[in-house]
Amino acid sequence: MRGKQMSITIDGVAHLKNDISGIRMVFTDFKRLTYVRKILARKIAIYDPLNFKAVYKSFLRWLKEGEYKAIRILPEEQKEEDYLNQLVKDFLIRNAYFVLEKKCILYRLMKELNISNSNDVRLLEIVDFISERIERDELCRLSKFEEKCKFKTYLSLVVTRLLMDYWREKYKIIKNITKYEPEFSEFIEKAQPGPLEHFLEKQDETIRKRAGIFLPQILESLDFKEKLVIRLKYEQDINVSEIARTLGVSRYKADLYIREIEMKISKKMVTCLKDGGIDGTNNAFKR
Amino acid sequence: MAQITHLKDEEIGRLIDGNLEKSEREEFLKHMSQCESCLSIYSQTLKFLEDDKKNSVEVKPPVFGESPLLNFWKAVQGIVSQKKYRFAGVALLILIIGIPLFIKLFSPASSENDRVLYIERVSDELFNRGICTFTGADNPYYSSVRAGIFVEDISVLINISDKKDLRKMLVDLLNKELIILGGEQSTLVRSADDLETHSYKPYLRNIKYFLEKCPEKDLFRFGGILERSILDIVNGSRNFKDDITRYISIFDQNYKGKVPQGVLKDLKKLNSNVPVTRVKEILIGIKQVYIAYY
Repeated sequence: MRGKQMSITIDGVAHLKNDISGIRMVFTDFKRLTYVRKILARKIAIYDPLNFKAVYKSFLRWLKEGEYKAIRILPEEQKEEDYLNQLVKDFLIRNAYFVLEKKCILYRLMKELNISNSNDVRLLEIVDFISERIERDELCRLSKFEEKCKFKTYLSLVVTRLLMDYWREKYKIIKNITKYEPEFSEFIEKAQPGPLEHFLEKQDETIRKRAGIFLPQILESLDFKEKLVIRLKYEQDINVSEIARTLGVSRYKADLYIREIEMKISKKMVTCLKDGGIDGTNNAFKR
Repeated sequence: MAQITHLKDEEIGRLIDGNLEKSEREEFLKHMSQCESCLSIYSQTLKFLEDDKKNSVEVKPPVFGESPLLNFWKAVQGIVSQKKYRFAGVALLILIIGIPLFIKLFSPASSENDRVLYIERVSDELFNRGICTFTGADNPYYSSVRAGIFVEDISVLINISDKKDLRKMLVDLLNKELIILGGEQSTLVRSADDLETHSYKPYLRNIKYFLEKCPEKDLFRFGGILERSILDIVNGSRNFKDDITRYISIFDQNYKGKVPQGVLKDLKKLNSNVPVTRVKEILIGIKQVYIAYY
């Protein structure tokens, strides 16, 4: 692509030779700058916490320092608007990643694993695992971002997936056990008690045994949203605000909804236990 | 067996951000009620983001009535709008801005603090990021430059009594370079525990004498000039241009292929009229090439 003439299609600007002064002129051209500013202004909210002014200056400086190499390699068949959009997007992804990297990887893991020392070797192993996979091939994984949600949310999801991959790899039942394996065991949480356990723990032994038969069936009889909410609350340990965010309702409404579901389950349980009789059969479900 | 189509990252992201239609939300929630994996990813990410949001909330002024700060500003505006108080107001403003500026510009202690803080920050980073392993490379060119940097740092800290640990850290780093340059048995290598405050000057002097006689003495001196230039800029002054010009010609003549191209290019940029903030960035960039080499 080097040495080829670059034609500008926006605003009908004439062909420019592929020399630095020519390309520099393109970027000091007011209309071109306005176009770049518009793209940035449109996208900047997605890349919170980047700041528009700082990013704009930084972008122009990056172009200059590369002696406009990024513009010189513009493919002939590609529209310049699309190319510029992509260039700006890649730049924003790179900058946003390096700003959020520590918070979304290191500090997050320190909190989740309850490690206060940022030099803990076990922590660094996980951080390296995650960072390496993200940064591979020039942030290939992050370049798949389609800007449909916030970048921080997307990055957090990628980190969550990679963390799960890490634990999956670490605890494969194979011969190779790393020397850190016993030291990691404290990080593996015990399985959260499900809704069944939560409901049953309040009851006495006899009722628990009987309820143990009915409760899974009661939970299955709930509609998908009710089931999901109960699982989020009891299995995933999500608080009411977060459940409200999931459902797209206010906190108050979410709280009411959860109480309604719990009341529904309790009522069904009482009915089952009464109708089930001493032998604890599930006749109630034949109604 | 029917394959489950999991939610994509951006779909989960949109659900977390609340950026979707009602019908889409229902569809995603239905999937999550049946899919353990997507539910797990969603809930873990949501917990992290909510937690992060809570920790970054700003304290807002009270809801009822106006904030005290706003009332204070209104009172100030009321006073300043009267002519008779304007002159006094301007004089007060000049004093409020001028005194700290005066202290900052002319106080040697505060400028010394800035240099020490810079050295502390960079050294902590070297240790915390495990970059001590960079001295595994047996490269006298890089070691000479690094030795120059560390010698300069230690000389700044000699008379600062409460930075003993920092001095010790730098001596450990310097020792690693001296082993590469002078061999394992080098008498220059001294344990930081053995060095008292008064013995630092002769210790550094001996190192300088030795390194001045080495083939890579220019690189050692370059490291020192580089670090001094950065510290001078941190300090507010700027004094390097003649040295930089000289080093460009030394590198061109004697160190072709041994000094990274990026370093030469950056040095040439410094010869032109660049703003001070840019100069600092370029110098730190050059330093990074040498202290981050593996």
